[in-house]
Amino acid sequence: MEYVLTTEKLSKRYGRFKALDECTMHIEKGAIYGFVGKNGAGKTTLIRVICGLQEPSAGTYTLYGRKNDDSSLAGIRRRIGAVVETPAVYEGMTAQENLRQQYRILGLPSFDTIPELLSLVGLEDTGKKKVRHFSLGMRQRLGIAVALASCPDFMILDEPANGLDPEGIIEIRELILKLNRERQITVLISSHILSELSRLATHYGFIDQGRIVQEIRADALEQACRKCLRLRVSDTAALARVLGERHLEYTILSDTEAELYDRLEITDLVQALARENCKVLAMQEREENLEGYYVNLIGGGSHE
Amino acid sequence: MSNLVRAGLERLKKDKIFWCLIGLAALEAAILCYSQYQDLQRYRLWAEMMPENESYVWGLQDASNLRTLLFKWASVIGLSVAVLAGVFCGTDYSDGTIRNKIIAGHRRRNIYLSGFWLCLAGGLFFAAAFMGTVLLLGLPLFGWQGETTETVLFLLDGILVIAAYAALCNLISMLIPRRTYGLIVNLFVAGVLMIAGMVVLMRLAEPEFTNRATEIFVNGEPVLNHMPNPLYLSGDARKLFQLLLDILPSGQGYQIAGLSVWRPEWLWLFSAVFAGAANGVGCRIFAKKDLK
Repeated sequence: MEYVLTTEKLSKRYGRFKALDECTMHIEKGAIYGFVGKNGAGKTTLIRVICGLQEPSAGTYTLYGRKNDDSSLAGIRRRIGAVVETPAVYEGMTAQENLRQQYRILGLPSFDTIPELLSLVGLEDTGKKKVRHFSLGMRQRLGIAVALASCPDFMILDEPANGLDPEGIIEIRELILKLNRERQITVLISSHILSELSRLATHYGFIDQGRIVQEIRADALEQACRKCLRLRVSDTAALARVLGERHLEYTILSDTEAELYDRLEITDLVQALARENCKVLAMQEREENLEGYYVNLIGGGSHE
Repeated sequence: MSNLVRAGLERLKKDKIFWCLIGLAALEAAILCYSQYQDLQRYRLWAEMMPENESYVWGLQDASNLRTLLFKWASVIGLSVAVLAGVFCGTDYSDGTIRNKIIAGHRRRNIYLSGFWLCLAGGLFFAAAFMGTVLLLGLPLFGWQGETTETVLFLLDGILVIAAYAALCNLISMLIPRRTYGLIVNLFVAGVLMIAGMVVLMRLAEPEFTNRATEIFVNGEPVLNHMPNPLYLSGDARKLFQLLLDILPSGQGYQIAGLSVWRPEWLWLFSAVFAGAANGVGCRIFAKKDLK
């Protein structure tokens, strides 16, 4: 498995406060990695460290096989594009001037691809309008265009949908999916909008108090969150026999609890269990979404 | 670093504050030319009417010398560079665009030093605007007098003074993440340096002896007592003040503006060391700085 980015016990302290606490994560090539955590969990800190804006206090990270203390990492950074917190654009310049500036910084010989880039992010008609007169959505899109200037194969987006209206959120989502599908760009996206993330991410990393609590693929998460019937019975062994005879998919959770994933006749099940001297104590239909999964994983605390 | 400097120069070309400062430099030069021309006319008249009065003769010599105007920019260049550094370098912080440079893979040292080169370039443009205006207006009015070689040496000194200011102002701007605060601190520091330089210069300019009027009158005129000036600096104190005047960029600027550089070879060294030290310290601190 090829990883674009891995972190190994990455830590970052600000005085006594530990913003990152031995954070270990892995981002596969080609993935859209959804980075989920509450405010202050350490998402932006991790992104700043990976982008080279800050040095880690301990631990390491590896970008395309180069460690953070490798002198050749600076050259590798050209393969990254990032929008960290707010879009980094010159307020007094137009969209085109901003891109020209970025092209100069990158040492790109020609500005020919700028119109195409502006068109990709939907800013081809901004003309002489200065960035200070842009809406938040337009600034976000310009920030993404600036990040795309170096034709990166790894994009880091720190809450790109923040402050956007529903239409803006959809536009950003479509853009990210397009970049991933058409240009095979790996994306690390941190977001509070879990419903949006669930439409995008192929992998998830849940962070809390500076630590990665869990990394999980989207399909595994879907499996974990799928619709089921949770049963509390007096004898799960009897339940297992009954369900096994009917070739139904189930999971035994404890001596008294089990989850059943296939549909069935409740009356038939209860009668079959009664014949086995097994009482049905409680029955509940469950379906978890990303939000519910996140809340259960991190703990009630604050809901996103 | 060349990419960063080139990108910065392109941005400088579009910066309104930069062009305002260029305009102000040219305007100041034009006003000084006009004022000196007025003085020239006046002294000519007085010298013709009273040729025995030496002060009118000296005044005429001074007023007709274009070189006395040419380097006047050196006494205020610190303020111009401070404004440019505060606004221009500060914008990279306030707009967050400094992040783009780091994410693009540029080393911190190169990002820092590109700021220095841009401040230096800005200062050179201001000086060029001033001197260009003086030459354009002044040559037809005053002609050219004095040693060209000496003028070139003053110019080289002046460039190093700009470098010293550029290094100092870049240091302040790159370490203070807020543009407004950076600008205020830059202006404050430039102002303090100018005042300090002026104080040092004035103390060194105190004559050894002064004439004090006594209470004795002869033919209605008070008798003057030629006595030592208590404000006159001598010995180690004088050496210290001279050293200060040479070390402070403002002191160097005043010497160049007044066309009286006491130790030109030391001036280059002090400017270069000042700029080198400021850049060295700045690079080290910036390399470790946590950016947001």
